[in-house]
Amino acid sequence: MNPGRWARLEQLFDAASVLDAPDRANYIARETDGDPEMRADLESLLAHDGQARGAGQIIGDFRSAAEPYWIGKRIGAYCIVREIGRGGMGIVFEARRTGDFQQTVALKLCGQGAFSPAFRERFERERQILAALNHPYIARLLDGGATPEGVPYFVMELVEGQPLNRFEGDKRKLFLKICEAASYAHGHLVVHRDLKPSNILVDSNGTPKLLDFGIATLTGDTGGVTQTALGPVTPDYAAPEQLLGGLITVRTDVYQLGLLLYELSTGRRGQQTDSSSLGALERSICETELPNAGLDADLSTILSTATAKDPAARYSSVAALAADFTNYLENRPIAARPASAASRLRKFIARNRLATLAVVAVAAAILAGTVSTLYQARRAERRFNQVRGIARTLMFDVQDSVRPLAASAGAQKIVVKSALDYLNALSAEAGADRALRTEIAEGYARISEIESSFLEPSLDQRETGAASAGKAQAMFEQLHQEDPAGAQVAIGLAGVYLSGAEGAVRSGRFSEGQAKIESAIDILRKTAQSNPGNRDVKRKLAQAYARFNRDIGSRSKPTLEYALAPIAVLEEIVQSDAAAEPELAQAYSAAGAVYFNLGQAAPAAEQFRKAIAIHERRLAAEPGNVSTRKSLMLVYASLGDAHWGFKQSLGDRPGALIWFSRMSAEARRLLDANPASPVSRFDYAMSRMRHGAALAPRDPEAKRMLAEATGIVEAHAAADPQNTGARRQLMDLYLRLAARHQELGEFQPALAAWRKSAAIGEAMRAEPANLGARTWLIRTYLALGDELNKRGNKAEARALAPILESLADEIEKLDNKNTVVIDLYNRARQWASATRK
Amino acid sequence: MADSGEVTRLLNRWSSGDRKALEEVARLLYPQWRTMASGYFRQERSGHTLQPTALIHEAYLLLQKANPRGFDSRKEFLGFVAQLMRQVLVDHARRVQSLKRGGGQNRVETTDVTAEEILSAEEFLTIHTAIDELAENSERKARVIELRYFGGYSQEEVGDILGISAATVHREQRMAEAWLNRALQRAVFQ
Repeated sequence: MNPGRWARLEQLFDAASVLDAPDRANYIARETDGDPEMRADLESLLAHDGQARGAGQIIGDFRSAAEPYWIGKRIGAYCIVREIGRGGMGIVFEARRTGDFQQTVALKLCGQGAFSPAFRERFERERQILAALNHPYIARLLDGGATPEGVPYFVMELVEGQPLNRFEGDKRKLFLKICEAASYAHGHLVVHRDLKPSNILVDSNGTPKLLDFGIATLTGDTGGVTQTALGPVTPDYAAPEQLLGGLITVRTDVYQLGLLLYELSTGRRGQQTDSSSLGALERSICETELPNAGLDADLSTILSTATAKDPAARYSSVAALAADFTNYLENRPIAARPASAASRLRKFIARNRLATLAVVAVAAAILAGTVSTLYQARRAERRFNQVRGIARTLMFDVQDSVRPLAASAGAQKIVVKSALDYLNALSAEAGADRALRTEIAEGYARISEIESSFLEPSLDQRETGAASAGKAQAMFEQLHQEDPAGAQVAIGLAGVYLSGAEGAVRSGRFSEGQAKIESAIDILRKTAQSNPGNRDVKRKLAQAYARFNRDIGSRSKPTLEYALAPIAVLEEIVQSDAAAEPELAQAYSAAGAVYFNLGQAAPAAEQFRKAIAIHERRLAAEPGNVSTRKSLMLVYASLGDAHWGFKQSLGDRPGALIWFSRMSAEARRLLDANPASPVSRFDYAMSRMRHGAALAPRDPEAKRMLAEATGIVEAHAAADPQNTGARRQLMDLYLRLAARHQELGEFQPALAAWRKSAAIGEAMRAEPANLGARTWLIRTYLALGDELNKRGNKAEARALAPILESLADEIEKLDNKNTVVIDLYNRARQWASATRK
Repeated sequence: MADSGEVTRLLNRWSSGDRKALEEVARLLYPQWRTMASGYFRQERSGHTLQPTALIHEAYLLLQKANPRGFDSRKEFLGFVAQLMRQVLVDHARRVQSLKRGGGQNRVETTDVTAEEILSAEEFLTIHTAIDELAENSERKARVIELRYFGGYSQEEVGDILGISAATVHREQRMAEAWLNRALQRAVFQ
């Protein structure tokens, strides 16, 4: 086709494809008037638009078929037996746990989740929430992790049964059981969001099992074709607020249960989505009511109440729906009233037209079939996601209308307040029920975490956050006292302590933070002893150690025990969950640093090498990962230091140089990848400095490296007059440069370097409290003075004496207890008095 | 084994804008790539799925060895990987298809090939040809399809690679798919 016609065809297709039926026909007729060939072309293309089994699906199917079989392979601690099926998100296998017990499970490999650290943290948190769901009608989540490539997987209870729509037995009883399960989950503050027949299996006894609780949201967004290819995406069970981008609540589940009940009662789907255009999609979900199926009046009323388009008009809870359905079954009057449906519908529509561009994009994505939930399409809107995350896990009543993009502080407040009301009401009824009290405590803990993770917590948010944390702590402590061996309570309590510690450390109250973390560690250690197989306890313990090292260890004298403890834990975890590798590498590095500070260079080097091994491997798999490369660079530097340069080093200069040159290579790569970034430029300068420092005396290469580093830092200092750190670093560099010149007998250049250093220092000396400037000045003048003495320039050397003495006086007045500093000004005084003679 | 000097030369030419050089590289590295990729089709490979990310990393390593300076244009490289993935699958489809005609020595790795699999391979090859035909009208639409389905990249990522917005990617993909669907149907009814 000639390019002009093709361009026209494109234009027409793009425009026509977003119009709905009558508008589309008009548009086509108008635009192709007099060109029947173009019209035919356009119409035939549109006819194939959004085809059920399209090109993408075919490619995907072929790819999936070509993929290697996992059968017989190991994922984590499990051995794959056979493929059970493919769902919207991944492949489900039957698997067997290797090792002691021959437990058969269902293992689901989920899409192409690339594990970023932030994502992984959320994944972990969600996994723990879901793992806590323990109900006979809910398929239990047993375990989870990631393969070395970063593909997430879940391990679930293996359910033998058939999908809901093929169940022949008593459907009414079945529905009530399903409601029970949904209600239970709501009590745990979890909304399912995807209650469609294929997610509910029924076994031969008529016991339902709900699958995929909120798992759709755990895999993050992918948008890649493998996802769509693994199963058709159907918006047929979507609730209006899911399409419109509103808050997902308990009432969303109520809607879906209503659709389910309709299907169970009539054998037909209640909602048929028309995906020919955005408008059609919106209408079919947000406007079109359930078709009349000749059902009993009361049942119809129940169904239309449950599936009301406006969430506020539906049953407020699944329990309410179940109760009314029971009323109906037992021929009692029902609570729901047939609404003036038309008027309510009009109001709802008026408030909720597909107005915003973002929502249109989301709906378009559903049409294209590339995302299975709105959540995935929204990943760019982090704020919104925060609220969605909250909405997914919290339960509350929406008093006012559904609002798209409800990320405002107002919405957040509503969410939290309602959750708290709910929890407060629950605690009043809890009595002695341990399980319930544990759930309530977990709820308070979660809310306080959510509140402290708001992007801009207001003052009263922080206050309620603290109050919730306090309640959680009190309840957990009580429960822990009653049963010290209980793992779930121990983890909850430790979690509250750790959150409290984080807050304390951020406000500078280090001893309080330390005490809290140590309490957490103590509890978890004891719990690990009484629950040896429990991996969740171990992970929490590793987290607690890591927090200690990160927040406390750097400030007080670190103990070797706390540095080594998380290593054993993490080494075990990493065998089944490769995503914990960076933490393990960090633990090795931290342990290496502690060993080194204690004067043990050889064991330090060993730890650093282990950290390096992990970083190198991960970097080979993902060369673009800047943070891994930076970590690797830093450990190379540490290993270099362990070999040479410090009193306690191994004294192996050639060995150190090997590591320093690798450090330099990585710094160079980081710089090349991001040449404009001041951070990578500075890091590169520092790497040159350290590398240069390790070279043998009189090695001219050292001079060049230092000159290079100096050039970069000079530029930094010039560009940022406030940067005192850069200026101090410059003084350090000039001194090193001067020393190198001295080695080579180049006196004038050494003198020039000292002068430059002194100039910077004297300028900063104008600040009365600037200790760093004064200490570096002393070092500068001492070095200069020694050289002058050596050359016999007595007069000039003596001129420095009073300068050094006044510097010493100034520093002493600044009342610093640092032994290095005290040592320095004493030396200055000694030199001054010796020179005067 | 591809000569690494040759590969380096070609990569340099490619980074100075010579797109043909990229195809040359692909052809040169293809035998190694195929061995590596077909490892993914065999059970010997320790349970890796045919993830674009896994293969990309492998490809990166392979090409890093040939060109230690690294890729100048990551975007071109990602496109290249998608092309390679496509070639690998086409190759596989042809072998599956040849079994229908009783092709003896080129047996596919999987022991049993069903009729459905042969049909699936044939449909796939039809689409593969159609993508090239689409490229005659719109190079960009063909690239979008390639990047989405063979690279497995998201709409944002594809947009980034091609220098267009995600919304444009979406529109391009939609019409491209309609076009391919139509082409498939026409082929079936021939």
